[in-house]
Amino acid sequence: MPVVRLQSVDGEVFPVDVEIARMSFAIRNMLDDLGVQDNDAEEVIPLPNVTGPILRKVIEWCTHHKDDPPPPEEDDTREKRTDDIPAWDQEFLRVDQAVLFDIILAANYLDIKGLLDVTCKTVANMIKGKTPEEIRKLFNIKNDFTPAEEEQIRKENEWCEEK
Amino acid sequence: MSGMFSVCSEDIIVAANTDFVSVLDAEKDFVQFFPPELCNKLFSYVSDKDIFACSQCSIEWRHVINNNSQWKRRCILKGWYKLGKENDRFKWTKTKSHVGDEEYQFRRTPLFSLPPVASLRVTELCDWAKYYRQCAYLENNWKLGRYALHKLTIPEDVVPTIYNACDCNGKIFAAGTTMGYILIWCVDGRPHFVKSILASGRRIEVEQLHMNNKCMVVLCQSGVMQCYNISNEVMYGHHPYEITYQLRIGGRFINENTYAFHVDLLTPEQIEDVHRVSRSNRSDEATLFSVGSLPVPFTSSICGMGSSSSNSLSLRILRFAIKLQFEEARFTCQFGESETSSPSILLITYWSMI
Repeated sequence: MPVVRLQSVDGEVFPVDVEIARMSFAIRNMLDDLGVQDNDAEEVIPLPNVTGPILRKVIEWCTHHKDDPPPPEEDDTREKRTDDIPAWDQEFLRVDQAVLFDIILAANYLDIKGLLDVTCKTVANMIKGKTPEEIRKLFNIKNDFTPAEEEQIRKENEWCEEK
Repeated sequence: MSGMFSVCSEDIIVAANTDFVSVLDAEKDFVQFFPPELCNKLFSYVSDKDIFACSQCSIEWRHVINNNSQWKRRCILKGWYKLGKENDRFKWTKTKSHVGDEEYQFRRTPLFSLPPVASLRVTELCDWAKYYRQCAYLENNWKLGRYALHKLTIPEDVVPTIYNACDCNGKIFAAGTTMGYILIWCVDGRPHFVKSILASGRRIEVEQLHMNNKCMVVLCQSGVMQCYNISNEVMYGHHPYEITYQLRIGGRFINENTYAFHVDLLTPEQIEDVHRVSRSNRSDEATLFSVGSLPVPFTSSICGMGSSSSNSLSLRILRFAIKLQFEEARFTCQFGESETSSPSILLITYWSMI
């Protein structure tokens, strides 16, 4: 199996099967642009936006999902489900919030649709059913509304409350 | 080599940024360091119910969620497609209430309005976000039984037919039929049938019907357009509806790209002959648009029409956007394949707040 070497921002180098690396559309494009051949195993691809620990997680996810069918096209005609996260992914994403957000940023930068999908769903599930105050507490959001602004926002949202 | 160098320098900048982010982690939430399009993507997974809670978290969160692509998607998923002034979904809100058959009370349906903007830090809601709220409010009211459906009865002597166009101004409800009749109900209070009018004096399909508080404009298939006075006095006096204008719209292709309209003001006597006249040669003569004594050149650029291979006249009128301004009545009427296509209705209903 041909291998590419991915280098994180902190200098760590990860040898990865090409097929797994190509799950990232960003890397796939880089490889195609560079015209990397199978025997170019020494070629190092720098990933300036991803740290070593995060890259390790991303590679772990890709390795586990390497035989998945390609993710379906974005379907904007249906409401997005968030209750269909596979058990392995749920366990895999049981990490600190900071790590979870770093994985999202990495998945976005590396353009790995499946990973971005599952991490966004995880965050959506964390938000589910919570009040604004609970969400603020959960994500360490500073409430910077003045009382008047807060009243405006409350009113403009109350049209949609069922009462 | 220069390529390598640029990669390296980028490395350093990004590394510095990463440090920056992790240092500030304790004071910043993810919305503040995610790129906006990533936030938008993430929030697209959040259900409609939860997105409102998210909007109330902080100025930044509300700002990031307040964009048309976020809300348009949510509207479309709900089947709320139309946006803008053309949308007649909310016209009925002026209708008064009516409960039961005999007892009724009047209460204004609360109009949808958004609170005034409290400060410049809070951006105005985007159009689709507003539209979502309007539609959700409307739907909620239906769900919670705040509106009731009233059947309008059709007298037995009215020829059964297909209803082609309808409009309501909160006081009267009118429907135009394929048999050329306009049926009028008073819906101010307990609904009752007022009368039926044979629009053009002949059985020519009523294509469109629009009204405001003063006027009702009817367009028939033959190109006859009538403007009725439906002001209060006339309504309550049960006076026959007074026709204030009768027009015949005709036209022809000047060349393959331009269709010229002409509008003739008709007297009540002339209307009798309209059906015949509209098929006569006269339709091909005029190339001016005129209302009353003021001729207005009417060109393709005003109409915004494209080319068409057909030159059949009156029947094609509905395919173009025509805007007529009646100075006296101050009523603007828009025809054409606009957003407000006539709803086809089989069961006529109107709704009001209980």
